[in-house]
Amino acid sequence: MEHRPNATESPVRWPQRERSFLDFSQGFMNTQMRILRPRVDDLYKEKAKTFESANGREPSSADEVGGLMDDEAIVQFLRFFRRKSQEMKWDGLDAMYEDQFDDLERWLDQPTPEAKGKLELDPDLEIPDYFFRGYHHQPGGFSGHSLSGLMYDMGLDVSFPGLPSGGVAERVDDKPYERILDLGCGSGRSTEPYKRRFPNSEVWGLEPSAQLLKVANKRAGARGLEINYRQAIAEETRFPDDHFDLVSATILFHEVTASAMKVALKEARRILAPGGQLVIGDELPFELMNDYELWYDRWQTVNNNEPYWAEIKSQSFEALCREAGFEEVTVEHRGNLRFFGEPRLVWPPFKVFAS
Amino acid sequence: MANAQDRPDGWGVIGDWRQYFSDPAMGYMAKMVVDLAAETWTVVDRQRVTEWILESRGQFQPGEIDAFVPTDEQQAQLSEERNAFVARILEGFAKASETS
Repeated sequence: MEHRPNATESPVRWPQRERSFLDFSQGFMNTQMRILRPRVDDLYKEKAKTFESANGREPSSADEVGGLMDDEAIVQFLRFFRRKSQEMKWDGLDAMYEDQFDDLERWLDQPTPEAKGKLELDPDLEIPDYFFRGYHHQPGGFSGHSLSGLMYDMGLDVSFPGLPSGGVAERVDDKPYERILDLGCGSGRSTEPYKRRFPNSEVWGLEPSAQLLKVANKRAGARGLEINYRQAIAEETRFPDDHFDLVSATILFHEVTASAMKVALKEARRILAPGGQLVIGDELPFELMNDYELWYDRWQTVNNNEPYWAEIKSQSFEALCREAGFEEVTVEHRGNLRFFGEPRLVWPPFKVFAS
Repeated sequence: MANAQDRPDGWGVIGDWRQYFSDPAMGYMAKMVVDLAAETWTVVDRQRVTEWILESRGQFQPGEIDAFVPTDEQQAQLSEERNAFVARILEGFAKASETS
C-alpha cells in the first residue's frame, strides 16, 4: 500500500492478506473518484442543459439537482462504492489488529521516552455525548477501544495517501509565538507542522480521546518534536486566560454540534492573549457552494456518518466568530470538493482568521 | 474478515447502504462484485510476493509470505497493477450505467 501507515514507527505487523486487502481498499477508494466522478459531473451538465431548455432556467436548489440525478445508476454506484470502501478500510484494519491487539495495546500504554513533551490524560474527563457517534463509520468511534486512535491514524493514510497536514500551520503569520494551541488535534497530524515551523514556541495539542493522544505522543516522539498533549474538550480547555498567542482548529468544527462550536469559540477567545489569533481550517460551508456541490456534498452527512456536517456547514463561521467576541475576521476559501483520488492543493479548503 | 453488513448497531451510524439503489438487488450484486474483486486482489498480491521470494532465494521459510514487506519499487509495481485492475472493474460499472 502506498504511504503504508506507521510502517516504521509502530510495531504493527502487516500480514500479507490484511496488507493486500487494505491495498485494494485504498486503490478502490481513490480510483472510483478518478473514474466515476467526472462522469457524474458530465452527466449533470447534460441534464442541467435539458432542464434549462424545458424550464427556461437552471436547477435552483440541491433538491432540484437531486431530482435530476438521484435515480441515475452511475450516481448510485458511486455512492455505494464510497460507502463500501470506507467500510472495507475499517474491516481491513479490524482484521489486521485482531491477532496483535494485546501487543499494540501494551505498546500504546508504555511511556515514550523519546517524547519530550507532556502527555496529560484525564480519566475523569466528562466527554459530551455528541462525541460518541462513530464518525466516518469507524467502529467504536474515536475512543471506543484501546486501538481507536491507532485505527483512526492509520485509516487516514489508507483514505488519503500523501495528504499534506500542514495546510493551516503554513498559512499563519510568521511571528515568534510564545504558545500555540491546536484544538481537536486528533493524532497530532495538524499539531506537528506548528512545532516544525515554530520550533521555539511551546506547542500544545488538545483532544478528548485519550486513545488519539497516545498515538499523537508516540508520533511526536518518533519525529523528535517536543509537543505537549492534553486530554480535554475545546469547550473547556482548562488553560488560564490570555495564555496563547495562537489557537488553531483544523477540521475540528464539522465534527461537533453548533452549540458546542459556539462555546468553543468563546473559550478560544478567553485563552487568547490580547492581539492573539484564532485560525480555523475546515471543509467549505454550504454558503460557498453551488446547488450541484451542495447536492453532492450533503451525501456525506448520512453516508459517511458525519452527524454534524450539515448543521455546522449551514453556519456562518464569520458571524459565529464575531458573536464569540472576535473583532477582525477574515475568511479565505478555495472550492475543491474532489477529495478522494486527487491531490488537494489547498487543504483544508476553508480558513478563518479571527483576532 | 468482519462483514460490514453484519456489524452490530450502536455506533450512531446514520445511513444504510442497502438503500443506495432503486433496485435493492443491484446493491447485493454490486457488493458481491466488490467483495470478489477484493478477494481476487489479495490472491494476486500473494502470487506476486511468492514470485519475488522465489526469484530472490528459490525457497520459502515458514511464514515468509505473510511477513513479506514489499520494497518501494515492488510497491509501485503492485499499485500500478492494482489501479489498472480496479479501473477495469469500475469501467464495467460505468458502462452498465449507460445502459440503464
